[in-house]
Amino acid sequence: MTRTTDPVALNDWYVVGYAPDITADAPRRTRLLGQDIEVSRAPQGGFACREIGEDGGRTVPHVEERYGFVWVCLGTPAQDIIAIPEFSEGSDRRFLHRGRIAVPISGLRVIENFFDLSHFSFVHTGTLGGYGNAEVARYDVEFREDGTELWAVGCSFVQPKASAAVATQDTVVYYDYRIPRPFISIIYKDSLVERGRKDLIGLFIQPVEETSCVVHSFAFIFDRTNTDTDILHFYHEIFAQDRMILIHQHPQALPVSPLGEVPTISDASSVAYRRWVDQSGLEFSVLRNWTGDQMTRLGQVAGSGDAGVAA
Amino acid sequence: MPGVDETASWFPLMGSGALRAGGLQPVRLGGYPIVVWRSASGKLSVWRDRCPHRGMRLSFGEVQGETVLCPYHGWSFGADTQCKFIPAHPELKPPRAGRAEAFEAEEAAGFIWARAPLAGGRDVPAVPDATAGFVPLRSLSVGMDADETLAALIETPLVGPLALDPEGGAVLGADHAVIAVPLAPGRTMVHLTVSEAMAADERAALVAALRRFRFAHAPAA
Repeated sequence: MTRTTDPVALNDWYVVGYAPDITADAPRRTRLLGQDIEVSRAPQGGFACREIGEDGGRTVPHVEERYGFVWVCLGTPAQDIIAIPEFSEGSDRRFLHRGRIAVPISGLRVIENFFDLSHFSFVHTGTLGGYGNAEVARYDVEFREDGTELWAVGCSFVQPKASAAVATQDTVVYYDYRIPRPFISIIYKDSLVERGRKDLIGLFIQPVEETSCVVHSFAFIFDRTNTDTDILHFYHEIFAQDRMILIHQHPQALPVSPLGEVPTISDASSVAYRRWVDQSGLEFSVLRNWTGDQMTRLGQVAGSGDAGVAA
Repeated sequence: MPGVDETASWFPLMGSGALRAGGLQPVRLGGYPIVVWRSASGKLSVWRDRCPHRGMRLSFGEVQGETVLCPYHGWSFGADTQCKFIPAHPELKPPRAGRAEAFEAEEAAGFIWARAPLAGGRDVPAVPDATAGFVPLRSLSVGMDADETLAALIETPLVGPLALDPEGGAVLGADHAVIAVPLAPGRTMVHLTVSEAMAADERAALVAALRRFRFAHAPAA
């Protein structure tokens, strides 16, 4: 595909790489919003980004390093890169780069799955949930930061093993989910190690195409016992379970019409997210008028242009 | 079923014996993912392979009693397609809109059939008249469209002459027939069905010939 023309998508910031992975002799070639780009170390320090095209390319002026990652805006930034105050707390938290994982699905589906509570018992059985405790308690959805950020707060769930740092034992774990931008979400999870403090786990989505993305992720947590490898194994097992779901969702872009998919009470955050995304005017990775494309009624056949059906 | 497209026709999806009670199988038809499942008591369902909640494929779930469970959030659906239970809210009556999408389904002549809004199938869920008393022997997928597959079988028959069934969708021989079902563009399922009286060595020879045919027209990996 070619670069999107969606101004809402173009004027936002996205993580396109983990800064330490990009060295002077190893620039990163990747794709953002359908545009091939190359991110490299700039001679004067910091990072540079160039669009790669048949016309020889163009320099992307908006490149920043923040929170250990390299951020790019292909258009004109409509706002600054999100603020994460915990990064300037001079913290005793441990920072872990959780890697970079490609997923052939809308990045919006990945974010929605990230803040979804009701899949824990079925997708992460034995760690983040269990069959015996599948009920989702009420939580609140609110807009913060002058209405620019979506939050799901007061979330709680019974988890057999909420993190690598804790022994296996059913524990009620409390969460807030922050969704500051459509392609970014951060969990603020009550630490079971450092009472009163929060573990942060964040996803920065690099939307590659409408229905494919790269998930950049970090953990900023309290854990004094496990090695980085042990902690990453825990997270990678969780993400592999999510990935199995994500790659099989249809349609692959996010349907925002209330007629497209059927929510229930525990989906309050998803309902608000879809409405918020719809109202943002974002087009990239969004399906606005999808209402189910029932095969039994409409007689659609293969080759009718449904991007969600792989042969 | 109300509103079914006039071009709808019946397609055999698999041999009835390939799906036990409590089993579920993913198949494709006309490019769409389909899930075929039998409840514990044996009730057959052929559905679009998609949970109405978040679009996950139900074929990754499991059959529990008379329901099928979505692997994503554990929503369970009865054979009437209605969601019966949402584990996140045990006290809640699931929304009426929480329904899977069903195809008409039948079992006949040893096959599981579904009626889909696609041309190229049969008018009724039945094998050609000339093949009454035949039984399913083997099903394989090949890397061609259904009409190409039938043309190739007529040109290079398996063991004896094959002619196009007047109703289409199948080629007939003296004691065997092949039914072609469009799975996706460039991909077709062929069901070999044979006379019940056919001897074991003749059956083996036919299956071997069908496998050679598949090898010559293998689907892309």
